[in-house]
Amino acid sequence: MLPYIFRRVLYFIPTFLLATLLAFLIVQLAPGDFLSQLKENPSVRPETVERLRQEFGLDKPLFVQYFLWLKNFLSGNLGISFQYKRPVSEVLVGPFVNSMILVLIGTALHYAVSIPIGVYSAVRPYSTGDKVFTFFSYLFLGIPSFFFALLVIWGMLKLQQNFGWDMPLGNKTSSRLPPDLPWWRSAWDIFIHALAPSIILVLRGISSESRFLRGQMLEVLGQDYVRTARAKGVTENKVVYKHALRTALIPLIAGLGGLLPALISGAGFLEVVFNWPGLTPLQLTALNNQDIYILQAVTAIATLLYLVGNLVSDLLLSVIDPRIRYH
Amino acid sequence: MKKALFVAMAMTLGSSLAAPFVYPAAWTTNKPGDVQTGGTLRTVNLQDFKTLNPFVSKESPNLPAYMTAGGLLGQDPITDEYYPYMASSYTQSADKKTFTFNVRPGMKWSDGKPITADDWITSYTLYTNKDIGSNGYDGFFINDQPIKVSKVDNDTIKVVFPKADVTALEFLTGFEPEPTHVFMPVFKSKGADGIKNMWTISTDPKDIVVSGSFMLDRYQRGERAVLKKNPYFGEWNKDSAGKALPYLDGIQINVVPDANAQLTQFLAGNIDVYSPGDRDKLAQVKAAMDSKKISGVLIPNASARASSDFVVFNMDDSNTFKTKLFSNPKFRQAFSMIVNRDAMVDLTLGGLGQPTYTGVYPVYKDWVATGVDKYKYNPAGAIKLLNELGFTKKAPDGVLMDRNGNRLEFTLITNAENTRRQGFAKIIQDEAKKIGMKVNTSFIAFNQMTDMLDAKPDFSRRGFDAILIGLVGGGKVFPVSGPNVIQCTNLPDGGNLHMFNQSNKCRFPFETQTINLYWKGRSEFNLAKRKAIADQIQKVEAEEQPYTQLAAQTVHFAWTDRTQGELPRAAINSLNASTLYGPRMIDLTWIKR
Repeated sequence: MLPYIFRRVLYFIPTFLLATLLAFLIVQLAPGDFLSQLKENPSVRPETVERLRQEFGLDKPLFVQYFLWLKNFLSGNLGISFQYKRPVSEVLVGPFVNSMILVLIGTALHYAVSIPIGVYSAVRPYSTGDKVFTFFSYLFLGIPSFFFALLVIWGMLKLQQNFGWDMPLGNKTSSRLPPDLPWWRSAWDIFIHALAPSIILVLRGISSESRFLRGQMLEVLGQDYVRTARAKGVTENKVVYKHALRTALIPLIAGLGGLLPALISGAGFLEVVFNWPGLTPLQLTALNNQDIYILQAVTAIATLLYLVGNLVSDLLLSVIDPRIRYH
Repeated sequence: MKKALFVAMAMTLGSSLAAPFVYPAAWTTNKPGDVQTGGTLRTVNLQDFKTLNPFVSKESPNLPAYMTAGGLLGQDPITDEYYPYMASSYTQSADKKTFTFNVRPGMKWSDGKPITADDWITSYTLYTNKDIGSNGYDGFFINDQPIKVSKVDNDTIKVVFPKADVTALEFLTGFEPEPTHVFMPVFKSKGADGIKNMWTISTDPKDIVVSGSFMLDRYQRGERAVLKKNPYFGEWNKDSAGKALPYLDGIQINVVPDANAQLTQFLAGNIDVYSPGDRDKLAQVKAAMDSKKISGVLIPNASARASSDFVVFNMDDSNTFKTKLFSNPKFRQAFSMIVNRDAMVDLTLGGLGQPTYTGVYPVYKDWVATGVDKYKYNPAGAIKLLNELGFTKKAPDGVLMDRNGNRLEFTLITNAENTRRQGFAKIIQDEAKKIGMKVNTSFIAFNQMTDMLDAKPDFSRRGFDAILIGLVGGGKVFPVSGPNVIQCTNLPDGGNLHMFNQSNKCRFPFETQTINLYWKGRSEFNLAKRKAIADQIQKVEAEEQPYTQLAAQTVHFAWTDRTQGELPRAAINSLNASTLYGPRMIDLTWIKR
């Protein structure tokens, strides 16, 4: 196992270099730089723009900039954000934590809802309940999440306007609450605001995962060893939850590796629609402003987490599934 | 008259000790007796704030600007006249180059320390330090010659301009003090880097010392900035009834980066002031107000924005068929006559705009010259001029040609991020086609477009025919243009925005004529005479069409009934409105409960 892990870690190096170099090139290929927007302002003199360009190191050749970044990254320095004039690591922390809130609530919901639905649908295939779940699964799979989010916000706005209910209409916290709240009240406020985007975030996941689990379960429930177990008088609950579910969950566990990169990439456009101060809005602003070190840092960390996540899920699989062994 | 009386009063009072500045009653629609104190104004900003440091701030709007009291002078939003503000009084030398200011006694920083002459010297020292690289740096130069600031004694500052210049007063409204006791110890021990690393967005609000009516209470990144009343501000700022300002206890600036989400917040009653950005949002606000979902005030089409969109042709001395054609004023006049500005307003701006014919933004309505629309939409006139230029034959595809077979065809570029400009470009394309001019449109990234415009002296990179772009900013004193736009020599120090000709030579007599008029206007202190010069400049530009002006968007303001204390309607325009608070002086704003 150890040589296998070592080999996999060695593969990280070229993948990481290639991914970050590519990201750097793509950002740099866009014409202009962070300072270009100053050019539309008649009161900023060109020499000022040039001086700032030197100060930011934007006058250096592309590859020199990349290797400087790489050197700094390897020593734990993610660079300085042009917009914030602060270390990127400091700028990333807040949005990263905010994205984590959505992803963690979402992930908890994802498993808490999709596994019971999958099991229910497999145990009672083609029942009314199964058909209802199937209908909603296809519905949620079909509607793009950002569009669904807009519908939800519209619905919440109408509720607030017509009934005066204080709805968590985007943002991370309510603008109506006084500043000095006890911690639990603030935490509840954040949770309430995170709930709608988290639910929408995982609706597609729940739909596909519960369908997938249903299929897996049906397959497992039809296998010989389950029939044998039943014939030996094992209770139905034990058959379903101990024998069938355990086997059916294996592919789901393999998917856990994707959780790490999901944490860094955040909840994507839902964060934009719900005005949630996560990583995606930060990245979009960075992209608009060509704040390259923020973009580089996010790409680099996402690449690393993706590689580590894949390795972790492979290793998890070997723990759960006795048929898999790595050498 | 009332205003003059006030200015005289303010200046007389200036000589007495601890004389507060009194806000004229005309700056708000409310009577002092109606005002309620306390409460928080909730507003919205499109982006996260990046810094609290006034020296490194590059964004707009920015928090340091909203926490500063102002400068030595202020500008009256009703009359546009200048009055002494943080100076209790001032004198101007006979040659109009030297200003001597008496610092208003009794002013205090938010930590209770007095604001003194030293604080302006600190501000001057740090803003003019090249290594700090502040955005304010360029303001301390007039056409590359530095403005000098010195301390005469503890209460007196002298500002010397390199030459008599009408924009001096405007500069002095923005010449703000910075706290010496906070910045200078750091500057002395750690230099420019020390200053640049101060007051980040994560700095403890207790350490942020400001002069303005509000100070930072807390900043939640990506969520909101919460400002609270500066208790010392009211000691030297009073309303017309003598009440301490500001009226509000605080301001909540919510960060909502998406324009639709901002609208939702306003419709839900979560914010108090809002500026609908387009027709759709305006219609939704109106519908909500009509159906009593929100009770408040909506002022659509309050005024034009302080910005312009125009088409500029490449008139460099590269001697190609196209640059020669573009350099001919008849061609540009013909082009102006195919610009259907009314269609641009109707179709692209949804009726929320107005046609423009001059480089003076239409919001400066007193400055827009008459008769500048000589080359307004007139396709027949355009065809006549093009015929005079030799474009008499038509190719099989309907495009006009001269006798050498040169086709009347060019590419109009604008930036891909801007749908308004793209809409304008499409209307130009359609109208041009009708008369046999082929306009190809190309939408590219903004940065790529400015790189093309900027390129000098390597003309191979300036390989564009025509660009549709705009300018923003500029002052109220002489709003015709700026040196960057008007200078044609000494590039790159001046004239980097002299977009039609970057050959570093004044190629056309009208360029020299405009520059001479411009600098004459800058040294003309008589307003009527200055306006006459501005008229002359506009007439030259209207005749020569170096920039073909298109149409200007209008601004709209909305606020809830909670929000009170706006400017009188006549003074409500884009110049007198804050991006965050709308058309009001924040210190005179109050919340109705």
